[in-house]
Amino acid sequence: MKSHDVYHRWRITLFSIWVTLGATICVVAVVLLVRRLGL
Amino acid sequence: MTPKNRQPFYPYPYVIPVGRSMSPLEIGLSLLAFPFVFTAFSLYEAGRMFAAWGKGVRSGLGLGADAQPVTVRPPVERWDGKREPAYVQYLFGPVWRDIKHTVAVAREAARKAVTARFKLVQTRYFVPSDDRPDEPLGNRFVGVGRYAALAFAAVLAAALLTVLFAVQAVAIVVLWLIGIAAIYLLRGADSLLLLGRGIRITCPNPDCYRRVPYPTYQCDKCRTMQHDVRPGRYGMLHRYCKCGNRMPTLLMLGSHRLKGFCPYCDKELEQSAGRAPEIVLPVFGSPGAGKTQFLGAVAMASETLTGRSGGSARPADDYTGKWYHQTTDAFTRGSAMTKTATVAQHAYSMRLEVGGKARTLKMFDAAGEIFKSSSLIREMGYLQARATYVMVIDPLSLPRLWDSLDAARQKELKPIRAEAPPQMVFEETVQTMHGMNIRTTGARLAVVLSKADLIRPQIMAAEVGTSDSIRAWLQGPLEQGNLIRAMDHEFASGRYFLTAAPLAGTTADLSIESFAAWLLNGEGMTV
Repeated sequence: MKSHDVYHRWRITLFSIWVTLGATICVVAVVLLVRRLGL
Repeated sequence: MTPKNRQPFYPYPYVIPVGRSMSPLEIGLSLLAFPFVFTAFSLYEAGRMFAAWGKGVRSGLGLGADAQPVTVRPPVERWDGKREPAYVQYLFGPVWRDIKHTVAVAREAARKAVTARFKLVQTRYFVPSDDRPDEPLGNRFVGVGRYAALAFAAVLAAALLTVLFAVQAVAIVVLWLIGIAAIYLLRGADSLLLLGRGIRITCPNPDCYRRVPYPTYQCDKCRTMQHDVRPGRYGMLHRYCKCGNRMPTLLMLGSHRLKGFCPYCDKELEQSAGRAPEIVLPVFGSPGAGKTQFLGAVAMASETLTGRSGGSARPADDYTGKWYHQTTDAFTRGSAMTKTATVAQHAYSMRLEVGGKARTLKMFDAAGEIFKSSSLIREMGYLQARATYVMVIDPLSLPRLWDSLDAARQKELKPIRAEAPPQMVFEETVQTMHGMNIRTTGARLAVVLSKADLIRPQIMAAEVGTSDSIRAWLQGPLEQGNLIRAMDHEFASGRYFLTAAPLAGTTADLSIESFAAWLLNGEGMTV
């Protein structure tokens, strides 16, 4: 096992968290923007 | 006159390309479209920047085709008193290094992406690129709108990414807190489990004999010692050794399958140490009382008893394996046991299993000479274990019994007679145990009168066999009242046995089986 493989699963988890939170924040931002513009 | 070094001047005037002029209608329509261009491109460019940052994060975490992971810090080679030769658990260090690294990689990726977009707008609407000088330029109002959108998108994306960073940091802190809680929960559950099952580990190695709070484990791949494998900085459910091998962190998670060592003396413990409760059996008595022979017979009787009940008994370590083989061989041949050396001895450990219950029987032998000296007794640290103490008395050493033998018999038995009176050994041992702050009043004591096969006529005449009758015999005719009273005073309960070590056929004598059955049944086994 290579040394960086020790943390591979944790890094995938961290990136998944980033994607999930990022997508959520973008959706929330767009919704807020749309409401603000009254569309 | 023209100076010699003056170069001729050739002017190359730069002519600003004249764009196509816009009609008033086009200018009006462009101004009308400006807010829509700005809004649409702001969202579009913010999305692109977000995606560029995301790619940078992925790359910084070492994922995807353009992976640029941070170098993992290698563990130390061996335990240095502070650090383990294992990889630090991700949440307790590496995650923050990764975040710092991904921010740097993502920032660079986003910077390149934004620069490329600015350049694209420039070449498409304002200045043609060098390789395509003739390409017609787009509507400059749209160009200005896209420039403004890019600037706004950069601010928007930065704001969103800051929020995301903060939320993610909170998520990691929450995970970290869960990790800390899991460590304490797992440690607590394991400790409760060990406490509930009455599991303790006593080091079987001479000159140590200490109570082991938790074994040190050896990696079964690279043989590196992990000082403390329990959940902590290096892992919750498991840890990675420096060689990359995954090791369980707790006995309840299977760490007993690894080779365990005493953290104090660094010597090997028995196999599966900590998996089953121990039965600690320290034996004391005068030199030549028959302690070693008695322990050998007990090991054989344990095997017989557990075998009869559908269970098993086997040596728990290599040392005991060799000893057990030599002992059974000596018993079978009827040869005498070698005298125990006046140095601390390795414990004899037997793994017993009956009806789904397992125990580790740890028998601690010591030369009788040790029990004449309090300083030597103090070295027998195993006396501190919650134990069933066994005092072996050679009946030939009791003056009243010895005097009842005729001269010929005395001459015959003199070479194997223990010289030291049992009361002296008992008092010396108990006093030293008190000095070691060992409370004996909660422990049980087995008083074993050995060599019963040599005094059959005396036993028959006294009509003794049961515990009470042996006690009465000792107290009365054999004049050991003081010793019996001292035993009653010092221990919670006492049981008296008459034992004969020679084999009955191929198994231990029934008297030894009776002792072993009392011992094992008293420790929760049913044999």
